[in-house]
Amino acid sequence: MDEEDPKEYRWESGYEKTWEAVTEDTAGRIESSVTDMVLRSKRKRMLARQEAGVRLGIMRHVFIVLDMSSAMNEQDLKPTRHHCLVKILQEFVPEFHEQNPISQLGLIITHNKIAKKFTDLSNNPLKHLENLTKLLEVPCRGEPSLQNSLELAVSSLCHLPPHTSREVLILYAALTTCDPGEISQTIQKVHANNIRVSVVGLAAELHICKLLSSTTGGTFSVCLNDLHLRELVRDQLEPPPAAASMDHTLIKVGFPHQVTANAKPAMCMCHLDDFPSLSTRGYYCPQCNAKYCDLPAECRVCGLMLVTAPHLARSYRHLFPLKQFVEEEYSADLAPNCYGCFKLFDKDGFDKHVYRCSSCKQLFCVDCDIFLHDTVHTCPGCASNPHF
Amino acid sequence: MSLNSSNLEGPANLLAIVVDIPPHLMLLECGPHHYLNSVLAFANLHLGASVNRKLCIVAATHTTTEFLYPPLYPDDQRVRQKDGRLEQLQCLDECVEKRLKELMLHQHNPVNGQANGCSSAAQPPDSLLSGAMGRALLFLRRHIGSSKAASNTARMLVLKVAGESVGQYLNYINVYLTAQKLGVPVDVCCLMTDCGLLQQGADITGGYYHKLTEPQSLLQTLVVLFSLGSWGGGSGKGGRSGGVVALPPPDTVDYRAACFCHRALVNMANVCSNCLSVYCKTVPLCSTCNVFFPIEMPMKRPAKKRR
Ligand SMILES: [Zn+2]
Ligand SMILES: [Zn+2]
Ligand SMILES: [Zn+2]
Ligand SMILES: [Zn+2]
Ligand SMILES: [Zn+2]
Repeated sequence: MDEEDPKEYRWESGYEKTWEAVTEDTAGRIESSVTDMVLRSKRKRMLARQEAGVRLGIMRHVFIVLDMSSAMNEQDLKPTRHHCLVKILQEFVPEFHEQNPISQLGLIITHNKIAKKFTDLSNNPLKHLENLTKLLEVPCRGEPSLQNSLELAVSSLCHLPPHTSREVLILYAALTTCDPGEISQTIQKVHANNIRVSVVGLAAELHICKLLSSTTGGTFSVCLNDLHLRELVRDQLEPPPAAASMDHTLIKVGFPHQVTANAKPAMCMCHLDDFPSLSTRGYYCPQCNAKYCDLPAECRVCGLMLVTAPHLARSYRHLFPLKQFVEEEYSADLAPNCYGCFKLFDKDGFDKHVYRCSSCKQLFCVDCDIFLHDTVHTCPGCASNPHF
Repeated sequence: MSLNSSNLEGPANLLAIVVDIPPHLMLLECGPHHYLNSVLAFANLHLGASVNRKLCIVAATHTTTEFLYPPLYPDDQRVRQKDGRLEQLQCLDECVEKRLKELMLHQHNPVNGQANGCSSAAQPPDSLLSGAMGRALLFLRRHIGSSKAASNTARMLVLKVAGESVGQYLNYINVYLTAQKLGVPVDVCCLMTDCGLLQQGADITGGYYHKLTEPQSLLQTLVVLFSLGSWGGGSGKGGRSGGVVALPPPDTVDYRAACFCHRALVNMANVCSNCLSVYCKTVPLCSTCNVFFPIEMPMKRPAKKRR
């Protein structure tokens, strides 16, 4: 394949010529310029998502491929690339599950020219965190193998139901790959299986990684420092725009009751492998009555996806985003106080501008405006009006 | 309840009370006066206990929500007089009474009265509790944020009179998730009947849920369960371990979702793979995101060749 227009990957990564944009501030540091860049890209991403609308493949299956080769021992990220990345992942995993309630994560590591499944696909963040801690003890050795990792990921992802979003996130530090065969064939296979591969480089841009991500519709980026790396990994929290070819279905789910009072002690199914302990607190599958101590889970007995209503609701904010409020110049004939927090508007000072919900026409102060759009995602004015 | 003002510089205790004022309040066994007086007495108790306590009361009817307290304009002529504490309590009573009258007037205004139609007489209209809770939360956030002391504690108490709410599901959940993020436990006291939706809120935020079958003992319950239990001693987040009274263990929490098609609570449901909309039956098309579902369940499609 030809060398592509370099513009393409820059646009895809969302960072335009990062190396040129880095400038020194008056004190000769580049930190602030990087921070600024991170912020700007965040805003851009939010805008792009609002335009994309509701077509989001929210049921995601993501394999994280972690380079565990000797290149991870480098100390350009503190304390080492290895430790820095594991720390970032420890933060990433719980957030991923919060924002993608019925999605699953898995972990593949590659070192010594082989690839190994470290954690199977699962939607239990606790299990992932446990394994990540273990990963700190695993030494980083030898060369990584891109091809082996991809083959392993494909073999686990290809049999998943067609409506799921299949993704691979490669965190790559080495500048080489040790492959047993022709990697371009593997890339074609990945593409044919509708798997989206994104690569975050820790060291430098690799042609093969760029090709891999552009062929499969993923993103490619190289980090500048640890903060930037964290941001690049966090980019993957958001579900990708659903692939056009993805089929949609109705998934059957169960909403278990949590029983504590008058419950008989029982073993939970999720910890059968370890030490099954008897307890009364838990959630019961509405179809077969198997018990689970944590949700979401897939029932091991009847295969029903078990979630709670609030789990699903977390993702509805993607569906029903709160419309932007309209900024208005404050004047004396407007309402004297913020509808939300009941604060008197300070007309000469802080509240020169007030914000109006276009549906319920209530006025809000700037603090409430930001908080409602960032965190709450519902307008209390609309919620206080029976017509909405 | 001594008026100890020794801890002037101590962390503030914030309380937001959300009061349900449904049209059928009159039908309550003990009468609306008893109900409102109990709320007011509890509010007095909270404010009177220490100088560092702040309070807001938000009322929810089926047509609107309104702040009953604090007053919008600080009443400077009176607050400056002699003993500030008692004045504040008097101000509370007056302010709540005045706003409540305004609210009732608004309610019986023919224009607003017709608004909701009250066409389905069988089902009393839902109070707009989620709107009131959202406003109370914004109030709490402003006061948590203003004083930088991280040890400020805030709680919300929701009083609900009979009836299950299922409408506005998303609004409720958004309020709960926000409260959880802010570390604000939502305590719920339901009169007469259970409310699964509010129970979920208490559970998500680490608050306490209680169903009260005898409205006569409302004040007593509020004081014992929601005052001593929550503020006494224990300072941990959502932790009631240090409370004065041992609270009964929580009951079964109802985690059912309301389906988008009939607003009925369901145990098992079909969920759109694109947007997670909940349907109680198999539907050919998702009405939320306009996606068609193939008629045969696609699980039966031949899987892509595996290797
Ligand atoms: Zn089951
Ligand atoms: Zn405000
Ligand atoms: Zn609004
Ligand atoms: Zn339905
Ligand atoms: Zn849908």
